[in-house]
Amino acid sequence: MWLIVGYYRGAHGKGRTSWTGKLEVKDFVSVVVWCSAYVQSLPPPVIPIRVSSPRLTVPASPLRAPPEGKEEVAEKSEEGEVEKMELLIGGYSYGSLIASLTPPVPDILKLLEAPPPSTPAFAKALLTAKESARRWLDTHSSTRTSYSGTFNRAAVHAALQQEENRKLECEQVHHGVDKKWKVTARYLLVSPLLPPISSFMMGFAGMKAWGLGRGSVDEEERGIEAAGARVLAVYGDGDTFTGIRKYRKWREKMEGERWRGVEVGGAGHFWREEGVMEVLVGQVEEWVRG
Amino acid sequence: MPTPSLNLQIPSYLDAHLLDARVYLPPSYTAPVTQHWDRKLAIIGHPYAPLGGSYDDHIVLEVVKTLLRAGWVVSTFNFRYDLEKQKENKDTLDERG
Repeated sequence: MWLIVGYYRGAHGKGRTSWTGKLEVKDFVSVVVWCSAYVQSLPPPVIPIRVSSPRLTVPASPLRAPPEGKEEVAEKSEEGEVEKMELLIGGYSYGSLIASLTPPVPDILKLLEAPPPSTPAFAKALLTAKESARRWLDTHSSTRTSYSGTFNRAAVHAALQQEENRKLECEQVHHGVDKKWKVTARYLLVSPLLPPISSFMMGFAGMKAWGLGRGSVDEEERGIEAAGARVLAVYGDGDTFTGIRKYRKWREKMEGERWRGVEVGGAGHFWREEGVMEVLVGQVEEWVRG
Repeated sequence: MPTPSLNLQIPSYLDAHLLDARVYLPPSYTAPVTQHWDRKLAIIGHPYAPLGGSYDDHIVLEVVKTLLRAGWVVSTFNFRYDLEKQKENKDTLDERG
């Protein structure tokens, strides 16, 4: 029953516990930034060479063709190369609540470009992320040789070296600035907590989390509210934390082209009922492949 | 249960508090069969820690498996959780009866 005390303090915001979620949002953001540094630095995967396609090619970067009458070099230095990354911020239960409170992705990624000088350990960890991602091929060469199919290691390295040289050239043009990234964001909420339980946990922020408390004192922007963000919310109609009527009202209010709500019949908050996990997995899989 | 490619501690940007984290690479990266690889990254938060929530939560792991199958790099982590403070809460309640 100690849980109730935790809720009480969260709701009134003056307890000693840190469980008002604010630190957790920052923790979540820290992991997003670190992993973004890692994934952006991962070299393209090595493809086993098949007989039908003996030449290994590193995927071409989506450089835009220069407009006519303009020198290519000049264009390159202005535009740089743009790479794409998809970012999914999600969670289950409390985790989805924290996910929904994270700031807009462009704001999160500012921490990647300019980590706060007050936390040198974080900046150093980002360098480690980039370094260890770049070395992935070297450190995992033994496992790679076990794949079916053969590939020419020398060709792989030559291709990567070529890619690396090109990148280096590009970076030199940009005075060491990293590649430009186009990052699209989506949000996955499994059994989200709606008010009142979210506000017990988060105070006012929990109310604001789902657009139910707009115009409140807490005006911090959320990534999930950004115009381009896609959202999938999956919940059971037998959820003990948030009643189905509340879920339905919420879904009615939120649903649109990019916002999809899925109600799973017979599912509780913990997805232990027969057959419901398969439905959850199926819904998530369809959405994350789309 | 899927096997993480990385087990690590990520410092919070706020106060360098170390967070236990995992990074899972999808088969489409570790054993690719086509030349196309999209950079897709998912971070999944776990349920309420005072109720036993962690990155070992089975629903979190089901979501991780699903995302890996679909070619996403996935990360999970443990929210900071102060056991001492939770103990205090419990004591406070015990005092109240």
